[in-house]
Parts: sequence; C-alpha cells; structure tokens
Amino acid sequence: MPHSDQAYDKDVPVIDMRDISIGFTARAGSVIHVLKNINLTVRRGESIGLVGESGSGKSTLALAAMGYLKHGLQLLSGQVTFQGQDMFSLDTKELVAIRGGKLGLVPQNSGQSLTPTLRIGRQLEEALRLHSGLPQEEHRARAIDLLDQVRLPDPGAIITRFPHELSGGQQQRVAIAMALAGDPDALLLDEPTTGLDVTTQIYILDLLSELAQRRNMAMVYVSHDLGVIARVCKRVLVMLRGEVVNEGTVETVLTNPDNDYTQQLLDAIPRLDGPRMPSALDGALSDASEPRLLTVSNLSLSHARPALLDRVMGRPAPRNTVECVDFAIRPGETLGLVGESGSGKSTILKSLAGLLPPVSGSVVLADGTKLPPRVRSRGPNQLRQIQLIFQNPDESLNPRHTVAQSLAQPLMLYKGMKGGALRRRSIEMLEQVRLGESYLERLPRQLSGGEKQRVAIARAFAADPDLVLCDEITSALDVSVQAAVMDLMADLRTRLGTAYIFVSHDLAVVRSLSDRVAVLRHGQICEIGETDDVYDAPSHPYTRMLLDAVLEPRPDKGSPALNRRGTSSDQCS
Amino acid sequence: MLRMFLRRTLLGLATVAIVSVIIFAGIELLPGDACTAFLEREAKGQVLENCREELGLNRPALTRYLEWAGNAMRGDFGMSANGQESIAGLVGARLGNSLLLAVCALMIGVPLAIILGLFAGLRRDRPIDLIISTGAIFAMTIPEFVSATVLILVFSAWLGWLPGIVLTAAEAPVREFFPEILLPMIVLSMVMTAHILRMVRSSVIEVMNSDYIQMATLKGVGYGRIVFLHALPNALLPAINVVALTIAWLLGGVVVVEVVFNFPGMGRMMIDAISDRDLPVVQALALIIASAYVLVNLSADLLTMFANPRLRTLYTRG
Amino acid sequence: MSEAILPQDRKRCRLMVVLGDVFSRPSGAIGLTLILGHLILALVSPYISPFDYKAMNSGAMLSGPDQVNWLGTDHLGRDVFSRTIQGGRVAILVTGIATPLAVFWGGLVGIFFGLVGGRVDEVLMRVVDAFLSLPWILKMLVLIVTFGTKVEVLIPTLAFFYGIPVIRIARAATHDVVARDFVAAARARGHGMFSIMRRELLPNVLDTLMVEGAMRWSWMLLAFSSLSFLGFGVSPPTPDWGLMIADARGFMTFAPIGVLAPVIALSSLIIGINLSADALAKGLGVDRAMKAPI
Repeated sequence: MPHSDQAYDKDVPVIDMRDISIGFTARAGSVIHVLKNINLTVRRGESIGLVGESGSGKSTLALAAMGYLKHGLQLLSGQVTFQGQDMFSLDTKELVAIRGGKLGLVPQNSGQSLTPTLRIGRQLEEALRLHSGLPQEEHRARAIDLLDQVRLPDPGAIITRFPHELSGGQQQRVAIAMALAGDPDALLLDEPTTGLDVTTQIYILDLLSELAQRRNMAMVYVSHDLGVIARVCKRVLVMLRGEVVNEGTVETVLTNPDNDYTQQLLDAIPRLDGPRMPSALDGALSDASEPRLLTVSNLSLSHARPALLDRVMGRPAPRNTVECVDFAIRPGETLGLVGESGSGKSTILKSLAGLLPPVSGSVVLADGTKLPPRVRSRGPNQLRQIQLIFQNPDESLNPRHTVAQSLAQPLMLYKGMKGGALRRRSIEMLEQVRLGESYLERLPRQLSGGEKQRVAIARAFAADPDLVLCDEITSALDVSVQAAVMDLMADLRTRLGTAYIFVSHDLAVVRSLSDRVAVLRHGQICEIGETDDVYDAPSHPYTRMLLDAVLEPRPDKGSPALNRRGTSSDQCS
Repeated sequence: MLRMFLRRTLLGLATVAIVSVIIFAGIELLPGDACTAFLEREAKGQVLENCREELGLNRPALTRYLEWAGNAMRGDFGMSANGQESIAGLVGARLGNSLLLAVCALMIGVPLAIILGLFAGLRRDRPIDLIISTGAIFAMTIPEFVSATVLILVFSAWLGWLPGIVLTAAEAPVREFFPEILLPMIVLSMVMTAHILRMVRSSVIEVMNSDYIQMATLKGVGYGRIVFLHALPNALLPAINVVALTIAWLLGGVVVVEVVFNFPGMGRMMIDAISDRDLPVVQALALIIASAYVLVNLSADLLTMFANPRLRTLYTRG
Repeated sequence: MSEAILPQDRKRCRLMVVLGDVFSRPSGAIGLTLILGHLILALVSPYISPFDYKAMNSGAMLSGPDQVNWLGTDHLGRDVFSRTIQGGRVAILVTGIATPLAVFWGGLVGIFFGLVGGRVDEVLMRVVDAFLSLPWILKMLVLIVTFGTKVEVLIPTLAFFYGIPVIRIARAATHDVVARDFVAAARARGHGMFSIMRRELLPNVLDTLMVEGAMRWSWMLLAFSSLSFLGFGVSPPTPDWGLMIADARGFMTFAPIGVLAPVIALSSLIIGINLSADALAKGLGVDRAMKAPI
C-alpha cells in the first residue's frame, strides 16, 4: 500500500492506553473493577500479545482500544488514544470512521461475527464502501483481491457464499480480509485462532505475521495460548484478574519470568518433550501376549441414517465417519486418540459407550464375549465396566441435580446403594477427586469449571470401571485447571489401575498421559504405536505435519511456515 | 431446495389427510347423524331407516369416508342437512368475506407489530418499551368479545363514529363492507399485533446482542444500517413461523368477532351450523379451516427456508 | 439464565422460592395480587353478596347505580354487583382444575415422545398438528353441543384440547434437553427410559411447563368466557362474566355499567394471570414472547 507509510514516525505510538480502569456498578451500588490501571503502548509494525486465563479482562482491554465497551461496562479512569485521537471523546461519526478503517478488529468467533443473512461479498463491499474511498465499481474487484491476499482458494466463488457455507478457517480468513479492507494501521485480534485445528491455526498466524510485515501494521493479539503469542509477538503482557502482572519481551517472559503467576502458567502447559505422567503400566510387563481388556476390529461408524426418500430413490449411502478401525487396549493402559476436528475420534468413543451402533465391525471384551452394540442390550456388568467423561461439564452434569444426586446415580444403579452407605461412598468419591463432603449439596452452577469436571470424573469412577473413555476432558478448561485435572487422572489410574481411552486434539496433552497413541485422519487410523515412538519418529507424514504445527511457548520459532493454499481439513464439507 | 419443498408439501398433505380422518371420525362418534338432525322428533323406526337408506348412511364408515374425502378434494362438499342447498355454494361468498376480514387485519397488524416491536426492542427497558410492552399485554389478553364490546360501546354507542354492527348481506361486493368492517378489523388485529410485537421485540433484543452486530459496530457501520441491514432481517426470520401460528389462531378468534359484529363470514356460519346440528356443513367448514391452517404454516416454512440462507443449504428438520 | 433464581436453600419448597421471585417483580406483584384477590372473592362472594344473584326485581330493571344496587340492575332487575362478584366462580373452578390436568397429560406425552424421537415422534406430531389445525372453538362447540355444558363435561373437554398444544411445547423443550451430554451420560450408564424422563428430563422441562401452565390458564379462561358469551357455556341463571356481557350488550347504551362491571372483572383476572406468567417467565429465564398462542 503506497500511501499510509511514513505518515507516522515509527516511534510515535499508534495505540496509547494510559491508566485504564474499567468496571461496572453492581446491584448494591459498589463499583466492581474489570480492569485496573492498565498502560499499553503499541507502535507501528509492532506486535504485542495479551495473555491470560478466562476472566482476566484481556478481551475487554482490546475492545476498549476501539473505544468500545460491552453493555453495562463503564470507563472509570484513563485515556485511550489512537493516532493522537481520544477514542472515548470522539463523536459517533468520527468513531465510525476509525473503526474498521485505520483500526481493524478480527473477532474471536468469526463464524458468529459475520451477519448470517448477507453474502460474503456484500459484507466485504460494505467495509470497502465505508473505509476504502474507492469508487463503487472497483469494490468487487478489490473484495476478490482481499480474499486472495488472505489466500482463500477461488475468491470469486467465495464472495457469492453465505458465512455458514464456509469452514471455520475460511470464516476466519474472511474476517481478516474484512479488517484489511480499511487498510488499517493497527489490527486487534481477539483469540484469532481459537477453535481452529492446529494446522489451520499455524497457517493463519503465519499469514497474519506476513501481512503485518508487508503493511507495517501494529498488531495486538489477545490469546489464552502462550504458544500462539510466542509465535507471532515481540512483546507480551500477562494479565490476571484485570491487572497486568508481567510485561516484557517474549524471550524474557517465556524463559525467565519475574512473576510467580507467569511461572505457574508456563509450568502448567504440557510440552511435547515434557515429563510424562506416571502410568498404571509403569513397572508392569508390557507384554504383547497380555490379556486384552477390549479388542476393536474393523469398526465402521456413520452418523447419517439414510433418509426414507433417499432409500426410495436408491441414492448411495453417505460416507462413513469412521472407516475400518482396529485397535486393542490392555488392562490399565492409556490409549491416546489424536486428530483434527472431524477425524472421528469422539465418534469412536460414542460407539464404545453404546450410544452409536456401528455400521460394521465388532468389539470383544476380555472374557471373549462380544460387547453388544447398544446400551440397552448390554448387561449391568458390561455397563459398569465402561464409563464416559465428556468435554464440557456444563453439559454433562444435569444443572438441576446436586453433586450428591449426580454421584448417587451410578452408585444406585450399579451397586444398589442406599442411605448411609450411599452417602459414605459419595464422600469417598469426592475425596478421591480432591473435593470434600461440603460439595455434596451444591448445584453445578455453584461450582467452578474445574470443580464441575472433577464431579463428572467422580461420577464416572463411582461405577468402579475398568475402562474410562475421556472425550476432550480438558479442552474446555483453563490451562492451570487442565494441569490439575490431568494430574488427577494420572493419580487415579495408578491407584485404581483403570484403563483410559483419551481423546484430544492437543498433542502435548495426549503425549503426557498416554502409553500408546493412535493418530486419526478422516475416520481412519494412519499411525498407532508406543507414545515415544510415534512422537519421536513418526512414520506417517500426517503425524509429522500435526507435530510441526504444534505451537509451544518457546521464543525460538523454529518450525518452518506452512505455505499452503487451504489444507485438506480446511475444506467446507 | 426442491427436495425440501417436496418434503414439506408432503407433510402438509399428510396433516390434511389426518385432519380429515379426525373430522370424519369425530362426527361419526358423536351420537346422532344427519337424519336424526333433519327428522328431529320423528327420527325413529322406519322413517329413520328410510332416510338413512336414502342418504347412504347405512354403508360402512370407510366407504362413506372415502366418498366424502374424494368429493371434498374436487370441491364438492355435498348438500347441507336441512335443505337441498349445495355446501360449496353456501360457503363460497362467506369464505371470501372471512378472508377479506383476515387480510385487512393482517395488513394493519403485521407492519404495525414490526415497527412497534423494533422500537421496543431497540429501546429496551426505556419508557417507550414499557409503554409498548404493557400495552401489548393488555391487547393480547383481553378476550375479543370484551374488546369488541368496549369498542362498540365507545365508538358506536357513545361517539357514533363507526357502525357497531354489520348489516351488509353475505353476497354483497367488497366495497359495501366499508366502513362496517373497520371495528371487527381493529379487534382482530389488536390481539395479533400484540403477539407478533412481543415476538419481534424479543428477537430484536437477542439479535442486537449478537456477535455480528458487535462486529458490524466495530467495522464502522452506521446505526441505521446496522438496524435495517444487519439486525432486522435476522430478527424477522424466526418471526415468520410465529406469525403463521398467530394467523392460524386468528381463525378461532374470527368466529367470535363475526358473531359479535354480525359479520357474514365462515365463523358465524359455523356457529349456526353447530347450533342446527348441520353436520355436513360443520365437516366441510372444519376441513376448509384446517386446510387453510396447514397452507399458512406450509407457506411460512417455505418462506423461512427461502429467506434464511442457513436453512436453504442445510435443510435440517425444523 | 443470568436472572434465574438460585435455589440455594433447598429445604424450602421450590414452588415457594419461585413464587417469592415472581412477587419481587413489580408486574408479578400486581399480577399475583389480582389473582389472589379473585380467588378470595370467588370463595367468599356467596356469603357477602348483598342480593341473591337470581333474585329478579321487576320494579327496577336496568336501573343505574344507587344506594341499594351499587352497580345498578340488569334487564331482569337482578343486582349487577352481586352477579359480578360471583360471576367468576364457575370459570375459576373449571379452568383451575382443567389447567393442571392439561399441563400434566400434555407434558407427559410431550416429554415421552421428545425422548423417543424418530419416526414415531414424527407421526405423533402430524396428529398433534392435525388437532391444532382445527380452531379451538369448533372442537369445543361440537363436544359441548353433544354432551351439554355441565362442569363435568367442560373440565375434561378443556383439559383434553388444551393439553394438545402442551405436547408440542413439552416436546420442543425436551428436544433441547435430550441433545445435551448429561442425557447421553445417563443413557450410556444404562438408565431406563422412565428413569431418564423422571430424573434428567422432567426437572429441566419443568420451568417451561410452569410458564406454559400459567399461559394456558389465561387462554382457557378466555375460551371459557368466550363460550359463555356465545351461549354455549354456563347456563343461566348462573352468573358468569361472559354470559353477563352477552346479556347486557343489547342494553349497553342505557346501562353501560352492566357491561363494564363484568368486563373489568374478567379483564383484571386475565391480566393478573398474564402479568404473573410474564414475571414467572422472566424469573425462570423462559422466553415467553417467542411462543404463538396455539
């Protein structure tokens, strides 16, 4: 972009926030702070990371840079200037000119941030009309050009699509293109890659870095993921409960933080080369001839039931979600299942739990009997053996049940417990997950996210299972809580000798917990083996690609940029 | 798209088929038939037998149902029980009158509801919203016969501005119904406006809190454009089905309003037919009204599908 | 759900907590007061009425309000005040019994089919749709004309027809809950269908059903008085607001109070129910506005 350069000196801040305090007035009339006395200066060409766990106020801070506060919040003190203009004293007309123009935003969830009833082209052209100053007839060509800049395949077709017709990665790139429409001097990115697959994430991050360099833009990245920040930022601010607790270059903050919280955060992040958690198999003979707890052979699964009309018209059945999968699990062993979204890893768990009968294939138990495909044809002992823990405890705990009621269900169903025995056992279960008796009478909404997941874990273990199916059980949790939950899972299996099938998209998490790992892609296992073998010497190129895409909180950004136009997992289904 | 269209239409037809069975079976299960109603006190012994023979009521129910349904599909609803009048002929003009009333009420009610609902939603919890919302509760809850009575009392009896009762004959041309139709129209549209308004308001509030409205704001889009281009279309999509259900509910309200205002439409005809136990007419009217309900809902489904890009591609079951 | 009430003290009955919350909102307080007033009036009105509701006074027909007849007399010389305060008794009795019945059976069937799902559910919904496609007034009238207007007929008739739309609501609410993981968890544990309905679904659908019940009550009352108004409800000389309005309508130019008194009585009860229902819906976090009156 020829103009815009040199307009500002490199040392003059683009965004300057001084002594920002933001809060809301509670019912009682007291003022509650969301942000306390924050200073942030961003210069041209600079990229700054705001990192923190949920509730740290990092998104609020980024939006405040645009002079925007969510409903109910108020600016208590401080000043935000963008290129010398005080954002909170501008009138609507001036604000509208800056927002989306010189100061762009890439929102957290692009899927929900694009207006569902308007075509992509229309939304891009709207941004161009407002901010580019180009004549009307050039808007379409420019929109296509912008989509090309974010390397979307076939931009001419994309502009005629509606937001929901694009994949998550494509929506994110459209949002970036839209922010670029105003030829911005600064870009605010609110969790720009959260929810995307690792290979898509690294691709988008590299794209952003490249754009920033080319256009000499300032960037503010908001993320909970230190790995993301480490890859793209020079400077980082660590936030905790509305305050900046640590600030500095990425190198110092990541390698030598002078703050306890940052250190805890860094310690909590599982690493690809970090220590493995104690396994139930440690010290035991891992002999191939050992009895198998469960043998899965030739399993094919499909979510789609052929519709009546399709059957009548003789259309071919839809493709299976999972295709001919074989694996076995030994008592006390933890098998990790990794793969990107849509690879069928959760579907396999659903089927083992009896919620989705397979199209073909069989599951054989330790005693040689076949596990019936449906829950209702399984015997009580077969039911008890296999327990399931879900990703999001908000969903998996009944919001109307107290902890005691939730725990009582498996105990009454499988053990027929009542009265005092039931209560004693419930308390025991709570203590096993490091909660106490005082939690018995609480409802899920009175618990924190980590506590809820512990209750869900206690509920699964109350059945005294031989195999626990863990479906992304740490994905919805903050990183420090995730570490505690993983620690708990490791502790439980060494004490009780339970086998796990551990599903996650996070390769580092899977590695730290698994004895063996299976890598899934498009419903097929492309590699399975001992964890160390798979991670240290992957035999399949896809595994290699996944491992390369993992972002670790390290200042040395070693891995090469992936320069591809749309990955295989990035296509709209 | 075509697939979905076919599927919906088939489901609609299936519903009409089930309704026709319910109507036929319902009337069949009730004590008495066309002959007992026609002959009244003389309905006994040989006279009754002869009558039933003549009207073919002795044949098995299934045969009679198929004959009735088959004829109804061709628009032939048979003869009314009392005389020898063709039901189709009787219904014709009155159906038109009822439609006139409903369409007039809709043309006022729907735009008014959207405007007021939008206002209330955008100015949530401010005085204007409180006034509109409270007014809506009143308009929505007071029975039609009550509001009709009060309106007649005020505008007809006290002020003398509008005629309080319709004296025009059923077959009269449309323009002769004015201004008599105004009061019934206002009564009908009041309830409907209130329902749609509340729904639009809550939908507008939800949409205005969405991520894409925040994004549009932060993209520098002006308020008017945000409201009319980004928010309103999305807020009205879920409203379409509710409007359809409200219209369908109106069909019940029409009956009361027609009786109160002496309006010569299907509703009054239905009350008369029920009082006279003229079962063939009741059957015919029930089937017509039910088909209208299904048709309105079907149109709403298709309209939503057409207007909602998400549904257009992802035709999931709604 | 941010405004949802927190039943922190589980020893207190949940119903009391909910009522307390409704009462703490201005609309709820007004609504509950109106309902309570009407209930008390319905109970005590026979004992406090100045006149017998069917006593005719041929000397004073259509008289205006005076010292003796506070609200005047009707066309048969009956005391309008006495008739008005007793005019809601049958309506409240009938709808008060029929509403819970309707919500109960409709809710049960709706939850059951929402859980079962699949083809069976689709077929049921067609039947429900078919019933809904007939105007309520037609369905009611056909039965009433055949079986009479006794209370024993009205209650089951209203309960039956008003339960059908509840099926639809309960089923939709159940569908939302069934998709959640805690139901999948219960299924995977091997709980039976009945146990899942009772433990997992019912507690989560109950809020919707309570709001639904409040709304059904007001619509049932509306239907009941409409029937009376059309002459198909309570038979004279029993005092009933709908019937009173119908009778007094012909004379409203000379004696408007004869129409206005029952109009105000009926409207205040229905508005009271709706204000309470609104407050209840807000308190429970159930969106009431998105529902059509079907």
